[in-house]
Amino acid sequence: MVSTQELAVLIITGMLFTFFLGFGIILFAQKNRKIQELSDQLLQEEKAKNEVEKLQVALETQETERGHIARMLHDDVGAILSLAQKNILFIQKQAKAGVFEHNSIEVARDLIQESINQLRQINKGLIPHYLLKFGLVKALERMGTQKTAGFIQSFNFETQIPHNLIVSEQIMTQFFYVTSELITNLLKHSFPTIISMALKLEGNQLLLIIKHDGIALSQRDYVALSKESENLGLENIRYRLNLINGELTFKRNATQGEITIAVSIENVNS
Amino acid sequence: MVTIYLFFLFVSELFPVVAGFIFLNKKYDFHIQLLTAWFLVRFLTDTITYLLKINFELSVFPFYHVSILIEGVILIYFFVSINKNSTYIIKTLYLIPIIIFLMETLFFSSIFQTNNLSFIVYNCLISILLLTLLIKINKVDYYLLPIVKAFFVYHSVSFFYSLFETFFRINSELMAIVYPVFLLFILSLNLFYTFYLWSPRKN
Repeated sequence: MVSTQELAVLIITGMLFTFFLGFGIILFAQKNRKIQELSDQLLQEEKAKNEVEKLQVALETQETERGHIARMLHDDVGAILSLAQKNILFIQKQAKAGVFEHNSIEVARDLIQESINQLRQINKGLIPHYLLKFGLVKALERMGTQKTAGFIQSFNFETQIPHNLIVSEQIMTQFFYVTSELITNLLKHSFPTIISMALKLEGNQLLLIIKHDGIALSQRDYVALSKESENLGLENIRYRLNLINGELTFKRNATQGEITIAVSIENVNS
Repeated sequence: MVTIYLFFLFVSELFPVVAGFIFLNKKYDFHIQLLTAWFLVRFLTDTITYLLKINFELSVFPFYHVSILIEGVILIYFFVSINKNSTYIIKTLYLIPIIIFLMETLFFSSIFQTNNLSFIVYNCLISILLLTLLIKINKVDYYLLPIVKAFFVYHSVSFFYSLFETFFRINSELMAIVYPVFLLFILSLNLFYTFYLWSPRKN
């Protein structure tokens, strides 16, 4: 039989044991918190680093592009305009002396016309000129045909959208670039032999369905890839889709893959 | 000796209540309000039951039954308010002290008899809830962590103590040895909480 004193000692020991056990649990929890905080911090740092790298790439690209434009403006347009200015100064000088130089005026006019032509050429390189001139349908068909030529066996483009449909320039441009990036990615990574594109209108939704027989992604793959990949192309696609409130859907079945781009032609982020 | 124990108990129970009111008067905090209410319930229960017992020799168990029910509900509320993503199931935890209260007062025992079952269940439940907070420690606001830790340790010890409460009631010699140790834990919690609220860091 246990005596009262022994029972008391037992209970007190038990209470103390519980007390120290509680402390142990607290220390363990604290350690866990520290580990969690450290891993969160590392993750944040890694994220920030990636963001900086992406920004650097974007800035470098922008700088290169600016340099390229500046060079073209300086070498082509700038040089011609300088000559035109020189000619006009000569005409002014002659005019003060009472001499009318008809020939120099013609030269100046030709030089200005030449610089306008040069500017147009540069402009063509900066915006999808064909898209603005001939519209989304023609531009998509042309882009698809040009990109796939020599790489796949068959490219087919179908459209069911009304001829009188007016799509804003912003939607057209972003839609075109997203499609272009997707076709490039398909050719680079999926190795298809057949690609078909169908552009249609469902309600106020502009849909482009790209079907192919190459290696296909499911929606889950795309989401995972978007999270893991630091690919600038994917970033661009997401960015452009976000601008026009667009949605990208990937489907995969036994024989083919299907990519759908859907954009409401009413709601667009400005 | 009992008078000294009671003196320490009442005085130490009064400290956190006063500190809580002063703190809340200066800066409102919902969690501190809950904990102050918890200390206030304990203080009032102990004071009222002591006065009733001394002056009128009345049964004090109804007060203990109700007190433990209110304390349980307050601390569950405290847990739910910290655990921001509380689901519907977590919110049904409120039912546990109510069910135990009804079962003990109506079926197992009576409102005029000891509240062993509700005391054990209360301590066990609160210890588990506080333990889950410590496991998901990142969810707990930094300033509440010391309180959660202190309450967890106190309720764990209190749970162990409550398991033997039946023995204490029939064996006063055992009670005389064990109670001072348990009182130390109560005093520690009360003083810790008072110090926590008085600490210049909080002001």
